[in-house]
Amino acid sequence: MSKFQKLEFYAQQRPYELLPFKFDRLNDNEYVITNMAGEFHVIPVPMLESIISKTLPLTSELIPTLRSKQFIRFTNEQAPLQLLALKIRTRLSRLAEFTNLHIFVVTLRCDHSCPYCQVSRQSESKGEFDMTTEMADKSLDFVFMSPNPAIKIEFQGGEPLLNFEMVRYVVLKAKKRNVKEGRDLQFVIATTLSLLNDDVLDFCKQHNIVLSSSLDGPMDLHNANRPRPGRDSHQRFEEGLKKARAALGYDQVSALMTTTDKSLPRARDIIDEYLRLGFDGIFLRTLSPYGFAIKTKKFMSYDTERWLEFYKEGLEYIIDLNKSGIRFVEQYSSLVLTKMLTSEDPGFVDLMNPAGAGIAAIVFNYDGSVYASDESRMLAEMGDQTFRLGNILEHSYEEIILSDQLLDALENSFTLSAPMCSDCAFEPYCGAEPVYHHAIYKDVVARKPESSFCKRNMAIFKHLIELMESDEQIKRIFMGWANRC
Amino acid sequence: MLKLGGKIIRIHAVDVHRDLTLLKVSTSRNLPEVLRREIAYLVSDQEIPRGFAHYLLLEKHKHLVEVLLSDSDYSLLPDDYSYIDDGDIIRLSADRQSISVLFRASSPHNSILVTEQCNHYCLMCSQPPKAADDSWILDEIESLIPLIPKDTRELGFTGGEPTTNRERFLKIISLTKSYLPRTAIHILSNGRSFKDPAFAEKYARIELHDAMIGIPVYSDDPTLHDYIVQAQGAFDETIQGILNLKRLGQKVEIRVVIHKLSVQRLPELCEFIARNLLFVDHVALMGLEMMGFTRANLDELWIDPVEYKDTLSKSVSILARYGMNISVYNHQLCLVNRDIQPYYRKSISDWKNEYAPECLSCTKQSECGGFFASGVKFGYSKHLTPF
Amino acid sequence: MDFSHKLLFDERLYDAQVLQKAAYRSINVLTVDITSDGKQFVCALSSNIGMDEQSFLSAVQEFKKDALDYQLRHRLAVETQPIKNLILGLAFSKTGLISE
Repeated sequence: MSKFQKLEFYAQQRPYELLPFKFDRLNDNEYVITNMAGEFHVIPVPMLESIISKTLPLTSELIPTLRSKQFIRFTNEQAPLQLLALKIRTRLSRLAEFTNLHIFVVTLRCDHSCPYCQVSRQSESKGEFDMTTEMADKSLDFVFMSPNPAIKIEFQGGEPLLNFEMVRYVVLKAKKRNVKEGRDLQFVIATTLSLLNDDVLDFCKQHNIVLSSSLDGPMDLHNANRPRPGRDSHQRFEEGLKKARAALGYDQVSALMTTTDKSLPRARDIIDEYLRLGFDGIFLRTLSPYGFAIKTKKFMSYDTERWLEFYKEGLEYIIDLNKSGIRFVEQYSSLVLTKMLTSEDPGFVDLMNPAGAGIAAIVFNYDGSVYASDESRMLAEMGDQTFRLGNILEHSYEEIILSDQLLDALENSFTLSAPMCSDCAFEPYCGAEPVYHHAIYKDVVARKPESSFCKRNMAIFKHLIELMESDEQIKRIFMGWANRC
Repeated sequence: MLKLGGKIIRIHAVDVHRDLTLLKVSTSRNLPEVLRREIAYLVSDQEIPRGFAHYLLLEKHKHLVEVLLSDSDYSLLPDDYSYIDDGDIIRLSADRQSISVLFRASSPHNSILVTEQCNHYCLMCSQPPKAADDSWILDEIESLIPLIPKDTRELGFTGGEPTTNRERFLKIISLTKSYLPRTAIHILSNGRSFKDPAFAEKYARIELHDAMIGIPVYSDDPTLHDYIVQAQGAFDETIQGILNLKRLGQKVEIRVVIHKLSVQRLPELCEFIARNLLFVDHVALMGLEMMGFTRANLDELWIDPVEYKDTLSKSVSILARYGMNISVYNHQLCLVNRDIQPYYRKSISDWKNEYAPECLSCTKQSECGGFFASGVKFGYSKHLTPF
Repeated sequence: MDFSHKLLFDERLYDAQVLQKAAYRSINVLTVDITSDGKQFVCALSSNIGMDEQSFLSAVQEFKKDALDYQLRHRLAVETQPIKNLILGLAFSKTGLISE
């Protein structure tokens, strides 16, 4: 007789127990199921009922996978509960750190006059649209009240280089204070690079300041999107990029694109332009509804469907690039994939829950107003003050951070209690985005079936899952994106 | 392959009642008299210093017995043992006329067998467990550790399951820390004992400065894992053990032996590890060793590595994408895809590794891990392709 | 043109809340009046203004699928509530390990 027992001896004889999970139809034939930690599995439609009714035979090949991904467990098994708890804890650990990104709008003045931008001013006169030192000091008091050990200060505009004196002031002041504070302090300047000079670069180099820039695509598209006197925005960008990379390091300059209706037929051109200029990724952004966009109805000029086509076309091209050995990332997908494939939360404001507003980021405006997010101040420029949390000269940290505007928005939009969201299988990947919903629907939750945010993200989630299911190579490329390696 | 123990030609003991057991070997003529009384001198020529506890002579030096003082204890060793050198530690048994080499100072791979008892009965165990009480081994280890050179870089503890006797295990580990504070420690355990938070805590509190516990996980399917290790509920306890150790900041390595059973869900296992156990310090994917129980279960376990080449690449790439530390051990260079190379390790201990006849013409033998001697003897891939 | 359709759901098999959720989900195409005759829920579906027939018919079909889905979700949620609380309890206890 063998000393060894057969496999059947170790198989479970009793029925399994369900662990919490959610499901949604992925397409006509399949459901996607997701557990509390965001792990997913795709199953054929008829299987779902038998899983939940426990009529799935214990010999089913699905059982090992359902156990491994913590959708079911057998009585007394402890490891699945501990692993789930651990992953949930990991994801939420970001929340405990509180505000990390502090945006300083040092001026509204700008040398560009982009049609989709509401906030910028062409005014040459200093003062009217510039942040004062008093405001900067108060804002810095606020920054260092955040319990987060890592602090990122981002300068925005307008064009922050038009008020570089204030940038300089804030950086030096913050560094001085940080000698005592000992935080991990980082600086970013969001700039078109059009006004970059050696003076600025020297300062950036000296203080390890990163540049976040804008590139909308090939020259004709970029210049059409971003008019400035001389129509040389693209040329200035490219020159600035070269200089900045040489001075600060290749990876110290990033670029963001703005999508307009002119971009939609040109996904490949735009990506090629990013490749040509040596970037290793692109953020295929939706046109934001803020600024002129809403007012001029530009936002309505193309619908979510059209944008999704643009996104899918671009993504397909990028995946092909990866398959042929070129490392290039689509950054929005990569944020979503981090949530799908890891226990990390990338902390991207649009995809946070509770909403990232005020928690992940806070904005100090040139006029002393404090906003819950960059979008909130754009909304305010359009006359909607819903997410104005207070004024830095008049209110204390506590008054601002515990303001009803912020807390109500966070609480009311929390997806685990929002209608439809609370049952949604994609909820672990999604975000609350109260500011967006308020902007469009005048309601922080909005009716999700009518929400283009919901429609767009749901389509993206499904698309990414279907891509991974259909092609193992894509899944492994995505694993790399999710882990930024 | 080195012969690490067995019968020897003759042990000559003047006082047969004197317990010889553990002896440290020296080739130094200049040791102070006080130290010589504990040490075995390895004879190499006519000039033999006096006062050592024991003298070791290889068969080729047999004639030198004449030179020894008549009251000296000595052993005559077959020439197989010519590798024995300064700093090695041996066990001599007069009544069984046998020797065991317990520690080789020149080897980077010394490991100490703590017990042959185990609560697993793995289908491919290379060191089949025994139920008998072998606590004498624990006694011996307690005397062995003080003899090990202080500059030893790495020391392993294996079994059986080394934590079978938990208190004695902790004692041995503490002893190791105090005698060998700079030595890196590697412990091979199935991790189940560490499911008990109190035990895990006691282990952590020893605060070894550089220690890794290697814990096997063979499948993400608990049933398959339990079957492979022949122990019900093992997977659940092992995972909890790993979590407890990591909670306490201890280093853990996951070890996966690849065979026909474990390879079925190897990519799934790697995904499970990446999703759930990302914080482990190292993942080792290892080829099957043709020893012990493996030969009894060969039909169920053997798969030609050439057949799982692509599965291995896929599995490694999953772990790599998650940024994990990976090593591929016990594989032949010609049987893995090129993408494995960054993780490929020549790992088989020097006293175990050999090459097959096919390998004679290979130009990359020096980069290849080769085989366990047992592999060459009992079967290996039919698809070796010398470079 | 307006379109309408009536659906009956056995009260022993469906919860009112489940039908409400399905109704909410289809809000962008149709509206649902839910009444009860004591044994069955009567769902009167009518199309939103300007909706074409094809969209309405597929929304009705979706509504039926959603009703089934939400009923299943309801069962699943009720059954797994205790273990969900247990997991959340573990997640927020002081164990100190995060998976990085």
